[in-house]
Amino acid sequence: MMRKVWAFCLLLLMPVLAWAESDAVALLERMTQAGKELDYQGVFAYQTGRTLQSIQIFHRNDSQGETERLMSLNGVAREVIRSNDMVTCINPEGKQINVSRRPLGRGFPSDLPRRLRSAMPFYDVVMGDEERIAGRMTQELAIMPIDGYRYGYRLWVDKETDLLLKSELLAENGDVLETFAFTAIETNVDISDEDLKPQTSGEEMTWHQSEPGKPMVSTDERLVSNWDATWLPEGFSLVASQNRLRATNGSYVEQRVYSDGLSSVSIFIERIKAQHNHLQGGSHMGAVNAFGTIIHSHFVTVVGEVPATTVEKIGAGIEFNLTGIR
Amino acid sequence: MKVNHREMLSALVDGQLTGQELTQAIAHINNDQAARAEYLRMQYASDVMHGYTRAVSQRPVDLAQRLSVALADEPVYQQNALLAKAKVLAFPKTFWKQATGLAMAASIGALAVVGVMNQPGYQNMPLANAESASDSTQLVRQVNRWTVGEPEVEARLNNYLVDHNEYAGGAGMFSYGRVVSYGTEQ
Repeated sequence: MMRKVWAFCLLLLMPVLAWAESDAVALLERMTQAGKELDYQGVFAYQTGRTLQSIQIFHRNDSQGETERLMSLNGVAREVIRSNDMVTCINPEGKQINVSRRPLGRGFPSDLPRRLRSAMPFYDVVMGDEERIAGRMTQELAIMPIDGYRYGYRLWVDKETDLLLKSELLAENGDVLETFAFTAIETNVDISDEDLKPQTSGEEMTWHQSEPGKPMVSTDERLVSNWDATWLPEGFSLVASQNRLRATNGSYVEQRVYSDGLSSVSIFIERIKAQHNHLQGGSHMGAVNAFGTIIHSHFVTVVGEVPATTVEKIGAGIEFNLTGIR
Repeated sequence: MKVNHREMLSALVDGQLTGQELTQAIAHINNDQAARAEYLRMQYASDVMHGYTRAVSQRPVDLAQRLSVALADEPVYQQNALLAKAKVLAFPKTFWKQATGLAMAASIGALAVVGVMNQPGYQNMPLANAESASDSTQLVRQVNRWTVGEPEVEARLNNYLVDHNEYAGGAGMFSYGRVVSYGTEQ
């Protein structure tokens, strides 16, 4: 009898749960679009562990496309400028400017709703309370993973503009690993060309530029493309792959991106050209974990905002598929 | 297997072949099972010689790197952690009497060490004075950077971090904040 009552209750609840999930997906979709389409400027705090940094951001979207500049406000004035096809990282301390071309399709595939819906089986999504962030009312969204191979998120989305105003990355035990939060933000403002120009002149700086690789047709490139990830967390699949030329050492670097729709890891495969040091085992930078190994004279590195166990297990399961060489 | 074939495989392992030579070498290892086995042996030997093995359980023993990584990862604690360890080492005086006897037969140096530790008032050595004013163990320094020893490895990981950011899902528009704030000390 009790079982029948539970089944009946579940049946009644199913439309509500489905509605909550589709509501959350719709909100995530609007949030991502707002981050790309709106013009805004502001200052956000980035905290990981005991490290706290204030960062200024300018974002413009016009007929020329998206342009964005981020600048560190404490310590060394590092800058990142993103345009449609380039990412420029300026490090005044090391007197270096690194320029890399953005991947074709600019990151994730454009079918955002499908991508987000595909993530839902692997997370429990709960719409939270309304909260005031940077002087604006936000809707909180809690996204908790179903297993220990991915992190959870708490997101606060501006109720007026759908912009993401605060984001927390959560460990399995609920600890906050990383927080991004706007302290001040202005939307619908005119972002001038001057705002998007780097503060650093670029003189006396060393420039490094990565170029997109050649199409993967020649035989030697097949050597770096026959790689299999034999273990991935449930729901992860290959979403992007690219091959680019690293100017600093003349090596082609293959990047294979796997995602469950929300969390993602990149596997970087780089042919060893000479005796160089490489990461052996695990490392981390804030909440981003990396695992490095060497397979058949290639540096293989797994990088992602997922737990250390995940990058290590993925790294240990990567295989060089010799039979694929023709 | 002919000598020139072995040289060709050796060159393939060393990454010295290009163009037609590379095509021939790959065709050779695909068509000849013995050559294929030889190539895999050579590749494995090369990896081992360079200190590389592919299994997680067979990582090369690079103590210097491991130590630097472990130290970078390890929070620095105040003196009261040392004090706790010192208390553990404070064996009963009878032990030190026996130890002194053994040390006399074994080494004058060891005797000196045991003797100093067995001095009256050893428990009140200045260690306690070095204790922090704070009662709790405090994290002194934390740096927001990759926990690796070599700048070359760090630079490579930073390049990967930038490339990966295009696909960072949850943090969305904030994700490049990680790049901008890289190396921040607290």
